[in-house]
Amino acid sequence: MNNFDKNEPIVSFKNVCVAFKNTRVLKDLSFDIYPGEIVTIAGPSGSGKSTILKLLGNIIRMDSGEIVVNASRLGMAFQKSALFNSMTIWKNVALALEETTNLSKKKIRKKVKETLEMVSLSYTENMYPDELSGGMQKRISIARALVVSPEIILYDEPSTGLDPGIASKLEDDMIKLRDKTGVTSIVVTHDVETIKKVSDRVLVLYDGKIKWEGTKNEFITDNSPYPRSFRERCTIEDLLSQT
Amino acid sequence: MYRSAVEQIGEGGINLIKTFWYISRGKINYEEVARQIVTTGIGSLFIASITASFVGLVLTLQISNQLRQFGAEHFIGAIVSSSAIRELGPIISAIVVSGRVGSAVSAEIGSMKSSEQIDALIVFGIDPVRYLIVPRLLASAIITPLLCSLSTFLCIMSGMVLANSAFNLSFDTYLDTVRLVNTTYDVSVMLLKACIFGITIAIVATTTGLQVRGGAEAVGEAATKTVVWNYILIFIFNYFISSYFFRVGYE
Repeated sequence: MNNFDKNEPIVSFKNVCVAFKNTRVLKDLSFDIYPGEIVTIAGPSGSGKSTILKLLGNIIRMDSGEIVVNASRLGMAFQKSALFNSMTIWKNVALALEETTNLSKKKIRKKVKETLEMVSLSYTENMYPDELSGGMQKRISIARALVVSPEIILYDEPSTGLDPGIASKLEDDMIKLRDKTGVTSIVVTHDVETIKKVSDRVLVLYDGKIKWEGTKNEFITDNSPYPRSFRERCTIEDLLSQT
Repeated sequence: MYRSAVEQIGEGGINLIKTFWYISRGKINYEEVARQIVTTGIGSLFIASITASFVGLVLTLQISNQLRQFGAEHFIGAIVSSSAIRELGPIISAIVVSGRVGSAVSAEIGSMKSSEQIDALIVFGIDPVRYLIVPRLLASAIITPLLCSLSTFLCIMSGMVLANSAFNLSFDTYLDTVRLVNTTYDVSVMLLKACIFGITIAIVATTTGLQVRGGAEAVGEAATKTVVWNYILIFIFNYFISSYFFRVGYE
Protein backbone atom coordinates (compact mmCIF):
# COMPACT_ATOMS: atom_id res chain seq x y z
CA MET A 1 0.00 0.00 0.00
CA ASN A 2 1.21 3.53 -0.77
CA ASN A 3 1.69 5.82 2.23
CA PHE A 4 0.45 9.25 1.25
CA ASP A 5 -1.24 11.96 3.30
CA LYS A 6 -4.85 11.50 2.25
CA ASN A 7 -5.49 15.25 2.59
CA GLU A 8 -2.64 16.31 0.30
CA PRO A 9 -3.50 16.14 -3.41
CA ILE A 10 -1.41 13.61 -5.32
CA VAL A 11 -2.29 15.38 -8.58
CA SER A 12 -3.11 19.05 -8.86
CA PHE A 13 -3.99 20.95 -12.03
CA LYS A 14 -3.90 24.74 -11.73
CA ASN A 15 -5.19 26.88 -14.61
CA VAL A 16 -3.86 24.50 -17.23
CA CYS A 17 -4.31 25.53 -20.85
CA VAL A 18 -3.58 23.39 -23.90
CA ALA A 19 -4.22 24.27 -27.54
CA PHE A 20 -3.64 22.18 -30.66
CA LYS A 21 -2.92 24.52 -33.57
CA ASN A 22 -5.72 27.10 -33.19
CA THR A 23 -8.10 24.99 -31.10
CA ARG A 24 -8.07 25.48 -27.33
CA VAL A 25 -8.66 22.05 -25.80
CA LEU A 26 -8.16 22.79 -22.09
CA LYS A 27 -9.09 26.26 -20.80
CA ASP A 28 -7.79 27.23 -17.34
CA LEU A 29 -8.46 23.72 -16.08
CA SER A 30 -8.11 23.25 -12.33
CA PHE A 31 -8.79 20.21 -10.14
CA ASP A 32 -7.20 18.09 -7.40
CA ILE A 33 -7.01 14.32 -7.02
CA TYR A 34 -6.27 12.70 -3.67
CA PRO A 35 -4.29 9.52 -2.89
CA GLY A 36 -6.13 6.21 -3.21
CA GLU A 37 -9.13 7.68 -5.04
CA ILE A 38 -10.66 6.34 -8.22
CA VAL A 39 -11.54 9.54 -10.04
CA THR A 40 -13.43 9.36 -13.29
CA ILE A 41 -13.08 12.17 -15.77
CA ALA A 42 -16.16 12.02 -17.97
CA GLY A 43 -16.98 14.12 -20.96
CA PRO A 44 -18.15 14.01 -24.54
CA SER A 45 -15.73 13.11 -27.34
CA GLY A 46 -13.28 15.91 -28.03
CA SER A 47 -13.75 17.52 -24.61
CA GLY A 48 -10.08 17.06 -23.73
CA LYS A 49 -10.27 13.99 -21.46
CA SER A 50 -7.41 12.09 -23.04
CA THR A 51 -5.37 15.30 -23.20
CA ILE A 52 -5.35 15.32 -19.37
CA LEU A 53 -3.87 11.80 -19.32
CA LYS A 54 -1.32 12.72 -22.00
CA LEU A 55 -0.23 15.70 -19.90
CA LEU A 56 0.19 13.47 -16.84
CA GLY A 57 2.10 10.90 -18.90
CA ASN A 58 4.47 13.58 -20.29
CA ILE A 59 3.33 12.72 -23.80
CA ILE A 60 2.38 16.33 -24.56
CA ARG A 61 3.20 19.67 -22.95
CA MET A 62 0.84 22.31 -21.63
CA ASP A 63 0.86 25.87 -22.95
CA SER A 64 0.37 27.50 -19.54
CA GLY A 65 -0.62 26.70 -15.97
CA GLU A 66 0.84 24.32 -13.44
CA ILE A 67 0.60 20.58 -12.87
CA VAL A 68 1.85 19.16 -9.57
CA VAL A 69 2.26 15.39 -9.33
CA ASN A 70 3.41 14.10 -5.95
CA ALA A 71 4.35 10.67 -7.24
CA SER A 72 7.41 9.25 -8.93
CA ARG A 73 5.97 6.16 -10.59
CA LEU A 74 3.10 6.28 -13.03
CA GLY A 75 1.46 3.62 -15.17
CA MET A 76 -1.00 3.96 -18.01
CA ALA A 77 -3.45 1.53 -19.60
CA PHE A 78 -4.10 2.79 -23.12
CA GLN A 79 -7.37 2.95 -25.04
CA LYS A 80 -5.97 0.77 -27.85
CA SER A 81 -3.92 -1.31 -25.37
CA ALA A 82 -0.73 -0.16 -27.17
CA LEU A 83 1.01 -3.50 -26.68
CA PHE A 84 4.20 -4.06 -28.68
CA ASN A 85 3.14 -6.49 -31.41
CA SER A 86 6.63 -7.86 -32.05
CA MET A 87 7.12 -8.86 -28.40
CA THR A 88 5.67 -11.68 -26.34
CA ILE A 89 3.33 -10.80 -23.49
CA TRP A 90 6.13 -11.51 -21.02
CA LYS A 91 8.47 -9.09 -22.81
CA ASN A 92 5.70 -6.47 -23.06
CA VAL A 93 5.20 -6.52 -19.31
CA ALA A 94 8.91 -6.80 -18.47
CA LEU A 95 10.07 -4.01 -20.81
CA ALA A 96 9.65 -1.06 -18.42
CA LEU A 97 11.53 -2.92 -15.66
CA GLU A 98 14.33 -4.00 -18.02
CA GLU A 99 14.81 -0.53 -19.46
CA THR A 100 14.31 1.73 -16.45
CA THR A 101 15.47 -0.24 -13.39
CA ASN A 102 18.59 -2.12 -12.29
CA LEU A 103 16.62 -5.16 -11.11
CA SER A 104 18.19 -8.56 -11.75
CA LYS A 105 16.64 -10.86 -14.36
CA LYS A 106 15.46 -13.14 -11.56
CA LYS A 107 13.64 -10.31 -9.77
CA ILE A 108 12.11 -9.08 -13.03
CA ARG A 109 10.85 -12.59 -13.81
CA LYS A 110 9.27 -12.85 -10.35
CA LYS A 111 7.66 -9.42 -10.59
CA VAL A 112 6.25 -10.05 -14.10
CA LYS A 113 4.88 -13.43 -12.99
CA GLU A 114 3.15 -11.86 -9.97
CA THR A 115 1.69 -9.05 -12.07
CA LEU A 116 0.35 -11.41 -14.73
CA GLU A 117 -1.21 -13.51 -11.94
CA MET A 118 -2.86 -10.35 -10.60
CA VAL A 119 -4.80 -9.99 -13.87
CA SER A 120 -5.28 -13.80 -14.11
CA LEU A 121 -3.36 -14.06 -17.39
CA SER A 122 -0.09 -15.75 -16.40
CA TYR A 123 -0.68 -18.51 -18.97
CA THR A 124 -0.36 -15.95 -21.82
CA GLU A 125 3.30 -15.04 -21.15
CA ASN A 126 4.67 -16.78 -24.25
CA MET A 127 1.89 -15.57 -26.53
CA TYR A 128 1.88 -12.49 -28.77
CA PRO A 129 -0.67 -9.63 -28.44
CA ASP A 130 -2.51 -10.51 -31.65
CA GLU A 131 -3.23 -13.98 -30.23
CA LEU A 132 -5.31 -12.45 -27.43
CA SER A 133 -8.85 -11.04 -27.40
CA GLY A 134 -9.47 -7.28 -26.98
CA GLY A 135 -10.42 -7.75 -23.32
CA MET A 136 -7.28 -9.78 -22.59
CA GLN A 137 -5.13 -7.17 -24.33
CA LYS A 138 -6.65 -4.47 -22.11
CA ARG A 139 -5.87 -6.54 -19.01
CA ILE A 140 -2.28 -7.07 -20.20
CA SER A 141 -2.08 -3.33 -20.76
CA ILE A 142 -3.13 -2.87 -17.12
CA ALA A 143 -0.55 -5.49 -16.02
CA ARG A 144 2.12 -3.59 -17.95
CA ALA A 145 1.11 -0.39 -16.18
CA LEU A 146 1.11 -2.13 -12.78
CA VAL A 147 4.47 -3.87 -13.07
CA VAL A 148 6.38 -0.71 -12.13
CA SER A 149 4.37 -0.51 -8.85
CA PRO A 150 2.86 2.84 -9.82
CA GLU A 151 1.51 5.33 -7.32
CA ILE A 152 -0.90 6.57 -9.97
CA ILE A 153 -2.50 4.54 -12.74
CA LEU A 154 -4.18 6.18 -15.71
CA TYR A 155 -6.94 4.36 -17.57
CA ASP A 156 -7.87 5.72 -21.01
CA GLU A 157 -11.36 4.53 -22.03
CA PRO A 158 -10.92 1.13 -20.35
CA SER A 159 -14.26 -0.38 -21.41
CA THR A 160 -14.35 0.95 -24.99
CA GLY A 161 -14.67 -1.83 -27.55
CA LEU A 162 -15.39 -4.55 -24.98
CA ASP A 163 -18.60 -6.52 -24.57
CA PRO A 164 -20.52 -5.73 -21.34
CA GLY A 165 -19.44 -8.90 -19.51
CA ILE A 166 -15.72 -8.39 -20.20
CA ALA A 167 -16.01 -4.66 -19.44
CA SER A 168 -17.64 -5.46 -16.09
CA LYS A 169 -14.84 -7.93 -15.22
CA LEU A 170 -12.23 -5.32 -16.13
CA GLU A 171 -13.96 -2.77 -13.90
CA ASP A 172 -13.97 -5.31 -11.03
CA ASP A 173 -10.21 -5.74 -11.58
CA MET A 174 -9.70 -1.96 -11.40
CA ILE A 175 -11.50 -1.73 -8.06
CA LYS A 176 -9.69 -4.81 -6.67
CA LEU A 177 -6.31 -3.37 -7.67
CA ARG A 178 -7.03 -0.10 -5.92
CA ASP A 179 -8.22 -1.92 -2.79
CA LYS A 180 -5.19 -4.23 -2.81
CA THR A 181 -2.42 -1.76 -3.68
CA GLY A 182 -3.90 1.63 -2.74
CA VAL A 183 -2.99 2.97 -6.19
CA THR A 184 -4.61 6.27 -7.16
CA SER A 185 -6.65 5.67 -10.29
CA ILE A 186 -7.64 8.27 -12.88
CA VAL A 187 -10.15 6.92 -15.36
CA VAL A 188 -11.10 8.73 -18.53
CA THR A 189 -14.34 7.50 -20.03
CA HIS A 190 -17.70 8.44 -21.49
CA ASP A 191 -19.23 5.06 -20.59
CA VAL A 192 -21.94 5.67 -17.97
CA GLU A 193 -21.77 2.08 -16.66
CA THR A 194 -18.04 2.39 -15.98
CA ILE A 195 -18.60 5.75 -14.29
CA LYS A 196 -21.33 4.33 -12.05
CA LYS A 197 -19.35 1.23 -11.14
CA VAL A 198 -15.79 2.32 -10.44
CA SER A 199 -15.85 5.98 -9.40
CA ASP A 200 -15.28 7.41 -5.94
CA ARG A 201 -15.56 10.85 -7.51
CA VAL A 202 -16.65 12.05 -10.93
CA LEU A 203 -15.43 15.15 -12.80
CA VAL A 204 -17.42 16.14 -15.88
CA LEU A 205 -15.29 17.92 -18.44
CA TYR A 206 -17.00 20.09 -21.01
CA ASP A 207 -15.57 22.72 -23.32
CA GLY A 208 -12.12 22.38 -21.73
CA LYS A 209 -13.26 22.99 -18.15
CA ILE A 210 -14.58 20.96 -15.21
CA LYS A 211 -18.28 21.83 -15.23
CA TRP A 212 -19.51 19.38 -12.62
CA GLU A 213 -17.94 17.46 -9.75
CA GLY A 214 -19.47 14.99 -7.32
CA THR A 215 -19.52 11.51 -5.86
CA LYS A 216 -20.79 8.46 -7.71
CA ASN A 217 -24.16 8.69 -5.91
CA GLU A 218 -24.48 12.37 -6.77
CA PHE A 219 -23.70 11.54 -10.38
CA ILE A 220 -26.57 9.04 -10.38
CA THR A 221 -29.12 11.37 -8.74
CA ASP A 222 -28.15 14.96 -9.58
CA ASN A 223 -30.41 16.78 -12.04
CA SER A 224 -27.74 19.08 -13.42
CA PRO A 225 -27.50 18.78 -17.25
CA TYR A 226 -23.92 17.48 -17.04
CA PRO A 227 -24.48 14.14 -15.24
CA ARG A 228 -27.95 13.85 -16.78
CA SER A 229 -26.57 13.94 -20.30
CA PHE A 230 -24.72 10.68 -19.57
CA ARG A 231 -27.60 8.98 -17.82
CA GLU A 232 -30.17 10.00 -20.43
CA ARG A 233 -27.81 9.44 -23.39
CA CYS A 234 -28.32 12.89 -24.90
CA THR A 235 -25.96 15.74 -25.63
CA ILE A 236 -25.08 18.34 -23.02
CA GLU A 237 -26.01 21.04 -25.56
CA ASP A 238 -29.58 19.70 -25.80
CA LEU A 239 -30.02 19.77 -22.02
CA LEU A 240 -28.41 23.18 -21.66
CA SER A 241 -30.79 24.60 -24.28
CA GLN A 242 -33.80 23.32 -22.27
CA THR A 243 -32.72 25.07 -19.05
CA MET B 1 4.65 22.42 -46.72
CA TYR B 2 7.68 24.62 -45.93
CA ARG B 3 6.74 24.58 -42.23
CA SER B 4 6.53 20.80 -42.32
CA ALA B 5 9.95 20.58 -43.98
CA VAL B 6 11.51 22.92 -41.42
CA GLU B 7 9.91 20.93 -38.56
CA GLN B 8 11.20 17.70 -40.08
CA ILE B 9 14.75 19.03 -40.40
CA GLY B 10 14.66 20.48 -36.87
CA GLU B 11 13.35 17.28 -35.31
CA GLY B 12 15.80 15.19 -37.32
CA GLY B 13 18.68 17.36 -36.06
CA ILE B 14 17.55 17.04 -32.45
CA ASN B 15 17.15 13.26 -32.82
CA LEU B 16 20.64 13.02 -34.34
CA ILE B 17 22.21 14.96 -31.46
CA LYS B 18 20.33 12.89 -28.86
CA THR B 19 21.33 9.66 -30.62
CA PHE B 20 25.03 10.56 -30.55
CA TRP B 21 24.68 11.60 -26.92
CA TYR B 22 23.27 8.18 -26.01
CA ILE B 23 25.96 6.41 -28.06
CA SER B 24 28.71 8.47 -26.39
CA ARG B 25 27.35 7.42 -22.97
CA GLY B 26 27.33 3.77 -24.03
CA LYS B 27 23.55 3.46 -23.77
CA ILE B 28 23.32 0.95 -26.58
CA ASN B 29 21.17 -2.17 -26.78
CA TYR B 30 23.73 -4.36 -28.60
CA GLU B 31 21.29 -7.24 -28.94
CA GLU B 32 18.85 -4.98 -30.82
CA VAL B 33 21.66 -3.54 -32.97
CA ALA B 34 22.67 -7.08 -33.97
CA ARG B 35 19.04 -7.97 -34.72
CA GLN B 36 18.66 -4.87 -36.90
CA ILE B 37 21.90 -5.62 -38.77
CA VAL B 38 20.79 -9.17 -39.52
CA THR B 39 17.25 -8.28 -40.59
CA THR B 40 18.17 -5.21 -42.64
CA GLY B 41 21.51 -6.39 -43.97
CA ILE B 42 20.69 -9.90 -45.08
CA GLY B 43 17.44 -8.73 -46.65
CA SER B 44 19.30 -6.14 -48.72
CA LEU B 45 22.13 -8.40 -49.95
CA PHE B 46 20.30 -9.86 -52.94
CA ILE B 47 18.93 -6.58 -54.33
CA ALA B 48 22.26 -4.78 -53.79
CA SER B 49 24.16 -7.58 -55.56
CA ILE B 50 21.87 -7.66 -58.58
CA THR B 51 21.74 -3.87 -58.91
CA ALA B 52 25.50 -3.41 -58.59
CA SER B 53 26.31 -6.25 -61.01
CA PHE B 54 24.08 -4.87 -63.75
CA VAL B 55 25.30 -1.31 -63.22
CA GLY B 56 28.85 -2.67 -63.68
CA LEU B 57 27.83 -4.44 -66.87
CA VAL B 58 26.07 -1.48 -68.46
CA LEU B 59 28.83 0.92 -67.44
CA THR B 60 31.44 -1.33 -69.03
CA LEU B 61 29.33 -1.60 -72.19
CA GLN B 62 28.97 2.16 -72.54
CA ILE B 63 32.59 2.98 -71.71
CA SER B 64 34.03 0.28 -73.96
CA ASN B 65 32.33 1.64 -77.02
CA GLN B 66 33.64 5.12 -76.31
CA LEU B 67 37.18 3.97 -75.45
CA ARG B 68 37.40 1.68 -78.50
CA GLN B 69 37.13 4.73 -80.77
CA PHE B 70 40.39 5.98 -79.28
CA GLY B 71 42.03 2.54 -78.99
CA ALA B 72 42.01 2.83 -75.22
CA GLU B 73 39.98 -0.28 -74.22
CA HIS B 74 42.64 -1.29 -71.72
CA PHE B 75 41.50 1.62 -69.50
CA ILE B 76 38.03 0.09 -68.99
CA GLY B 77 39.02 -1.27 -65.57
CA ALA B 78 40.35 2.09 -64.44
CA ILE B 79 37.17 3.96 -65.36
CA VAL B 80 34.71 1.33 -64.13
CA SER B 81 36.51 0.87 -60.81
CA SER B 82 37.01 4.56 -60.06
CA SER B 83 33.35 5.25 -60.92
CA ALA B 84 32.28 2.37 -58.68
CA ILE B 85 34.53 3.26 -55.74
CA ARG B 86 34.02 7.01 -55.83
CA GLU B 87 30.34 7.26 -56.73
CA LEU B 88 28.34 4.21 -57.74
CA GLY B 89 29.06 1.88 -54.80
CA PRO B 90 27.97 4.35 -52.09
CA ILE B 91 24.99 5.58 -54.13
CA ILE B 92 23.74 2.09 -55.04
CA SER B 93 23.99 0.84 -51.45
CA ALA B 94 22.31 3.99 -50.10
CA ILE B 95 19.45 3.71 -52.59
CA VAL B 96 18.95 0.04 -51.74
CA VAL B 97 19.04 0.65 -47.97
CA SER B 98 16.76 3.68 -48.26
CA GLY B 99 14.23 1.96 -50.50
CA ARG B 100 14.16 -1.32 -48.69
CA VAL B 101 15.06 -0.56 -45.08
CA GLY B 102 14.30 3.17 -44.68
CA SER B 103 10.71 2.87 -45.83
CA ALA B 104 10.14 -0.24 -43.67
CA VAL B 105 11.58 1.46 -40.57
CA SER B 106 9.45 4.53 -41.17
CA ALA B 107 6.29 2.42 -41.58
CA GLU B 108 7.12 0.33 -38.49
CA ILE B 109 7.68 3.36 -36.26
CA GLY B 110 4.73 5.19 -37.83
CA SER B 111 2.36 2.33 -37.04
CA MET B 112 3.78 2.19 -33.49
CA LYS B 113 3.02 5.90 -33.21
CA SER B 114 -0.54 5.60 -34.49
CA SER B 115 -1.28 2.68 -32.15
CA GLU B 116 0.02 4.62 -29.09
CA GLN B 117 3.04 2.33 -28.61
CA ILE B 118 5.40 5.32 -28.71
CA ASP B 119 3.23 7.07 -26.10
CA ALA B 120 3.51 3.91 -23.97
CA LEU B 121 7.32 4.09 -24.12
CA ILE B 122 7.25 7.74 -23.04
CA VAL B 123 4.91 7.03 -20.10
CA PHE B 124 7.23 4.23 -18.92
CA GLY B 125 10.15 6.65 -19.01
CA ILE B 126 11.80 5.02 -22.03
CA ASP B 127 13.08 7.60 -24.51
CA PRO B 128 12.01 6.51 -28.03
CA VAL B 129 15.27 7.96 -29.34
CA ARG B 130 17.33 5.59 -27.18
CA TYR B 131 15.05 2.60 -27.65
CA LEU B 132 14.20 2.94 -31.36
CA ILE B 133 16.62 5.31 -33.09
CA VAL B 134 19.99 4.37 -31.54
CA PRO B 135 19.97 0.68 -32.62
CA ARG B 136 18.55 1.48 -36.07
CA LEU B 137 21.08 4.25 -36.69
CA LEU B 138 24.02 2.08 -35.61
CA ALA B 139 22.78 -0.82 -37.72
CA SER B 140 22.34 1.41 -40.75
CA ALA B 141 25.76 3.05 -40.24
CA ILE B 142 27.37 -0.41 -40.15
CA ILE B 143 25.36 -2.16 -42.85
CA THR B 144 25.50 0.58 -45.51
CA PRO B 145 29.34 0.57 -45.79
CA LEU B 146 29.30 -3.26 -45.86
CA LEU B 147 26.73 -3.28 -48.65
CA CYS B 148 28.70 -0.52 -50.36
CA SER B 149 31.87 -2.66 -50.30
CA LEU B 150 29.95 -5.60 -51.76
CA SER B 151 28.26 -3.43 -54.41
CA THR B 152 31.55 -1.87 -55.45
CA PHE B 153 33.27 -5.25 -55.65
CA LEU B 154 30.47 -6.76 -57.76
CA CYS B 155 30.30 -3.70 -60.01
CA ILE B 156 34.05 -3.97 -60.74
CA MET B 157 33.94 -7.77 -61.14
CA SER B 158 30.96 -7.78 -63.48
CA GLY B 159 32.73 -5.14 -65.58
CA MET B 160 35.83 -7.32 -65.67
CA VAL B 161 33.89 -10.36 -66.86
CA LEU B 162 32.16 -8.39 -69.64
CA ALA B 163 35.38 -6.65 -70.68
CA ASN B 164 37.04 -10.06 -70.96
CA SER B 165 34.24 -11.86 -72.77
CA ALA B 166 33.07 -9.11 -75.11
CA PHE B 167 36.24 -7.08 -75.69
CA ASN B 168 38.99 -9.67 -75.09
CA LEU B 169 40.53 -7.61 -72.30
CA SER B 170 42.56 -9.91 -70.02
CA PHE B 171 41.79 -10.05 -66.30
CA ASP B 172 45.38 -8.99 -65.52
CA THR B 173 45.20 -5.86 -67.69
CA TYR B 174 41.82 -4.93 -66.21
CA LEU B 175 43.04 -5.40 -62.62
CA ASP B 176 46.34 -3.58 -63.30
CA THR B 177 44.45 -0.44 -64.30
CA VAL B 178 42.13 -0.84 -61.29
CA ARG B 179 45.21 -0.80 -59.03
CA LEU B 180 46.75 2.06 -61.01
CA VAL B 181 44.01 4.62 -60.46
CA ASN B 182 42.52 3.75 -57.07
CA THR B 183 44.13 4.40 -53.72
CA THR B 184 43.39 3.58 -50.08
CA TYR B 185 42.24 7.18 -49.77
CA ASP B 186 39.50 6.57 -52.37
CA VAL B 187 38.30 3.46 -50.55
CA SER B 188 38.31 5.28 -47.19
CA VAL B 189 36.22 8.13 -48.64
CA MET B 190 33.84 5.54 -50.14
CA LEU B 191 33.31 3.89 -46.75
CA LEU B 192 32.90 7.24 -45.00
CA LYS B 193 30.37 8.34 -47.60
CA ALA B 194 28.38 5.13 -47.17
CA CYS B 195 28.45 5.54 -43.39
CA ILE B 196 27.12 9.12 -43.65
CA PHE B 197 24.40 7.92 -46.03
CA GLY B 198 23.48 5.15 -43.58
CA ILE B 199 23.15 7.66 -40.72
CA THR B 200 21.08 9.99 -42.92
CA ILE B 201 18.73 7.17 -43.95
CA ALA B 202 18.17 6.06 -40.35
CA ILE B 203 17.54 9.58 -39.03
CA VAL B 204 15.14 10.49 -41.85
CA ALA B 205 13.25 7.18 -41.55
CA THR B 206 12.87 7.23 -37.77
CA THR B 207 12.06 10.94 -37.56
CA THR B 208 9.42 10.66 -40.28
CA GLY B 209 7.93 7.64 -38.50
CA LEU B 210 7.79 9.50 -35.19
CA GLN B 211 6.00 12.42 -36.88
CA VAL B 212 3.09 10.28 -38.06
CA ARG B 213 -0.30 11.72 -37.08
CA GLY B 214 -3.29 9.58 -37.96
CA GLY B 215 -3.89 6.06 -39.22
CA ALA B 216 -2.85 3.73 -42.01
CA GLU B 217 -2.84 6.43 -44.68
CA ALA B 218 -0.42 8.57 -42.68
CA VAL B 219 1.86 5.54 -42.20
CA GLY B 220 1.96 4.97 -45.97
CA GLU B 221 2.67 8.65 -46.58
CA ALA B 222 5.53 8.53 -44.07
CA ALA B 223 7.15 5.59 -45.88
CA THR B 224 6.95 7.43 -49.21
CA LYS B 225 8.19 10.68 -47.67
CA THR B 226 11.17 8.83 -46.18
CA VAL B 227 12.27 7.47 -49.56
CA VAL B 228 11.83 10.84 -51.31
CA TRP B 229 13.70 12.81 -48.61
CA ASN B 230 16.47 10.23 -48.44
CA TYR B 231 17.04 10.26 -52.20
CA ILE B 232 17.19 14.06 -52.22
CA LEU B 233 19.57 14.22 -49.24
CA ILE B 234 21.79 11.37 -50.48
CA PHE B 235 22.40 13.08 -53.83
CA ILE B 236 22.99 16.50 -52.23
CA PHE B 237 25.35 15.09 -49.57
CA ASN B 238 27.10 13.00 -52.23
CA TYR B 239 28.01 16.11 -54.21
CA PHE B 240 29.34 18.03 -51.21
CA ILE B 241 31.28 15.08 -49.76
CA SER B 242 32.77 14.26 -53.17
CA SER B 243 33.77 17.85 -53.89
CA TYR B 244 35.31 18.27 -50.40
CA PHE B 245 37.37 15.08 -50.50
CA PHE B 246 38.28 15.56 -54.15
CA ARG B 247 39.80 18.93 -53.25
CA VAL B 248 41.46 17.69 -50.05
CA GLY B 249 42.75 14.51 -51.75
CA TYR B 250 44.46 16.35 -54.57
CA GLU B 251 45.93 19.00 -52.33
